[in-house]
Amino acid sequence: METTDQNYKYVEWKSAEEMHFSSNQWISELNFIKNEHQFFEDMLKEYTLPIIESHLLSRVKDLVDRLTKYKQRTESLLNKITEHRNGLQIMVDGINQLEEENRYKKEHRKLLIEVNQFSLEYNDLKKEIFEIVSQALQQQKQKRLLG
Amino acid sequence: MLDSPKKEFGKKTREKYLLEISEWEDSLMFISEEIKFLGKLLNAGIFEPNIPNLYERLQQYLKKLQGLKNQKILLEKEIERYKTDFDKELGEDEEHKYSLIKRTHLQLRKNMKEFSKNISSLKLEIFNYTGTILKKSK
Repeated sequence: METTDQNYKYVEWKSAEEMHFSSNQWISELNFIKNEHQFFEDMLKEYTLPIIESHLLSRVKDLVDRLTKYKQRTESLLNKITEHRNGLQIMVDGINQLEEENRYKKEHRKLLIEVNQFSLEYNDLKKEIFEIVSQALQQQKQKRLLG
Repeated sequence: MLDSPKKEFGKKTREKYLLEISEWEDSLMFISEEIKFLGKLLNAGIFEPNIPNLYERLQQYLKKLQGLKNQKILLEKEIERYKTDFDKELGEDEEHKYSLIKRTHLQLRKNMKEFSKNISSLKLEIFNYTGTILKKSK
């Protein structure tokens, strides 16, 4: 896990400005993911579920369940990051508070790991959604050609 | 006084840059799959009939998607070229090499940011439009 170790180290070198930038970027990405969730949910529930072959039904239902859980995770992560971003004052107030500053960096590092993990898992989920929806599209196309 | 490019380009910066390059590559690889999926979706004929300008809108999105696909390929090539320069043995003029790397890196970072913004904005447009006109299956 060399990359992950590097990620941890990376935070040590980050300036307050860079941490602020990362937090804003995470917030913007998570807000975007919220929009994506809605689209994928409609795609799975309203389009894919009614046409997919019966042996794949449980897979689609599982994807819908996982998507719902991700919605909650996204909200919770968004709240944590927003709170973290609002606490940045400690790093830029010009007062030397080594302990608090280290705690802030530690919190940033923890969030970085959480966001990275979340993105990896969410991308895996998306790949599965792409695959199942593509199968549904293919089935519909075949039906149209035969019918 | 400003640090010399060599002093500025220490081990930390090098590792930081390398990590960022690998993140760009991962991100572009995933975006390839997204573009492929969106292309399939737009071509699938799964939308309610009789939507005004449906065909034109879908073609417009497909064209934009193709444009972004081309941009992605260019970015991949630029990153590849940059990686080769990054790994090259140091010659006589180290300082020149360090400032060149820094300049290229910052430019690529800017290009990646711009590209991500464009792809997200197109995805959002496609989701918002197609999400409301999906043909409900019976």
